Amino acid sequence: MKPLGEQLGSLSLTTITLTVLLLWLSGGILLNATPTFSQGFESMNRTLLSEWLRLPQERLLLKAWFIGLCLCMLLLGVNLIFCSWRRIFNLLRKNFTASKALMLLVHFLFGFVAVGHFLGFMLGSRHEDIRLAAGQGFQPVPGQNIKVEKIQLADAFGTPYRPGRNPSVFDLNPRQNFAVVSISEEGKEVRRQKISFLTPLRWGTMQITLRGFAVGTDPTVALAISNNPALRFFLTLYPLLIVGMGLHLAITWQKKSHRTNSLTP
Amino acid sequence: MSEPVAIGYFLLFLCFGLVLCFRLLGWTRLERVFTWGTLVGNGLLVGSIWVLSGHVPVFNLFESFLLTVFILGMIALIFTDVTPERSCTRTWIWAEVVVLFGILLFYPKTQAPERFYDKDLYVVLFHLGRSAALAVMLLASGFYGEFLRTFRRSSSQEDSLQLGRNFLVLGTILFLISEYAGILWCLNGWGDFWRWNYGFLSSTFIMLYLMLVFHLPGGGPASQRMTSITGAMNSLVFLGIAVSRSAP
Repeated sequence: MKPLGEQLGSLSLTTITLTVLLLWLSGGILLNATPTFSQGFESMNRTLLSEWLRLPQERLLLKAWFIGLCLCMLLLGVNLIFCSWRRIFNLLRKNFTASKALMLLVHFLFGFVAVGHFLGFMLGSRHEDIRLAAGQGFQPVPGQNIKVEKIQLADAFGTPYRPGRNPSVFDLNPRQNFAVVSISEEGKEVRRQKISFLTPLRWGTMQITLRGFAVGTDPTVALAISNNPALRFFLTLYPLLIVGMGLHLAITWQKKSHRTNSLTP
Repeated sequence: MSEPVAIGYFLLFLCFGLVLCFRLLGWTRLERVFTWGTLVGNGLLVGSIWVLSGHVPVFNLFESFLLTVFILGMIALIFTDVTPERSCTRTWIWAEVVVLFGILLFYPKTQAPERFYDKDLYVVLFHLGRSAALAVMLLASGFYGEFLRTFRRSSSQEDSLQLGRNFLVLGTILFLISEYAGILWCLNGWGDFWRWNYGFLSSTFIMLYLMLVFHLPGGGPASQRMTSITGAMNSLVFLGIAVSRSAP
C-alpha cells in the first residue's frame, strides 16, 4: 500500500479526477440544455456565485452540481500540490533539466489561473441589466454614482429587428450607437467616457459594459456593472501559462524519451 | 447559396477525394500534383471569401472548415512524407479532410453575413485560433493513427508518437490562445470573462479532455497505445463540439 501523500500526488488520481470532471461537466451541459435548469444557469450569469449559492429560490440540484464541480477541482488542486511537492525535491536533488523545471512552472501557473478563475466567481460585485435613460444614475456602492449622460441610438430602425423587440447590439453600428457615461465619487466626477458594444469603460477594477438598448419615447441602455478584483491576476497569468507551454514544447520537440506522451515533469 | 462558392466547394471535395484515392492506390506522382493543385484552389476559395465578405473566413462552419482544411493541408505537406506505402500519416489526413468536406454537405455553402463585430481583434483571434487548433489537432490525430496502425511493426513508430504529442501540444496552445481571446471578447461584450452556457462549458470539456490525454499514467506500450487512442480521439471531440455549436 502506497503512502497517502504518494497516492494524492499520483497520475492515477489525476486521471480519475479528470475523468470524473469530464462526466460532471457533461452532466452540466445536459442540465444547461433543459428548460428547467437553463433559467438557473442564466441566474448564475447574473449574480456573483457567492450570492447565488445563498439564494433560496435556486434549484438544489444545480447548486449540488456546482459544489460538486468545485470539489472535483479542489481534488485536482490537492493532486497538483502533492505531485509538484514530490517533483520539486526530485528536481533539486537529482536530474535537474530546464524542461522539467519549466513544466513544473506551467503546472503552478495552471493552479494559480484556476484559483483566479474561482475567485472571479466569488469576489467583487456584479449588477446586470441596469436600465437607465439619459440623465439617470445608479449607485453600485454608497458615495459612488454612475450616470448616463447621453444616449445616441442612430440606426435602430434601419436594422433587421422584429417589431416590438429591442434592437440587438450585434446589429447596431457601435460607432453610431453608444452612450456617454460618467463616474462620480462623493459628488466629484472622476471619469467620463463613450461606451459602445465591445468598448466598455474601465476604472480601477470596475467595468461598465453596454449590453443593449431599449427603444421608445425615452430610449434606455442596459448596462452591466462589474467589479472583479481577481481579474488582473487571472488575465496576467493566463498568457504566461501559454508562453510556458510554448517554451516547453520548443525545448522538447526533438526529445526522444521513454515516455513521449507525458507533459508532466 | 452563393453559386461560384458552392461550385468551388464541390470541386475541392472531388479533388480531395481523388487525392485520397491516389494515396490509397499508391500513385504518388498523381497524388502530389493533385494535392498541390487542390490546396492552391482551396487557398483561392478561402482568399476570395475573405476579399468578397470583408472578414477573415472563420465566422461560420463552412468558412472555418475551408480554412482548417487549408492549414491542415499545408502543414501536412511540410511535416509528413509521401511514402510508397498505401497507408501512412497522409492517408489519415486526406481521409480527415474528406470527412470535413462531407460534414459541410449538410451546411449552407455560403459566406457568413457581415456583422459589425467581425473586425474586432479578439473576435477574429478567437475564431481563427479555433480553426488553426482544429487543423493542428487533426494532424496530431494523423500521427497517432499511424502509430496505432504500425504498433509493434515498425521501428519508426516512436517518431509518430513523438510528432503526435508535439502537434497535440501545439494544438492545445493554439486552443488556449483562442480561449484567451474569447475571454477578452466576453469581458468587453458582457462584462465578465465567463458565462454559464454551452459554449463555455464545451470549451472547458475540450480543455479537460486534453489534460486527460497528457496525464495518462504508465510508460509502457499499453500506456502509449492508450495515449494514442485518446490523443487521436481528441480531434473527434473538438470536431463534434464545433459541429454541435453550429447547427445547420
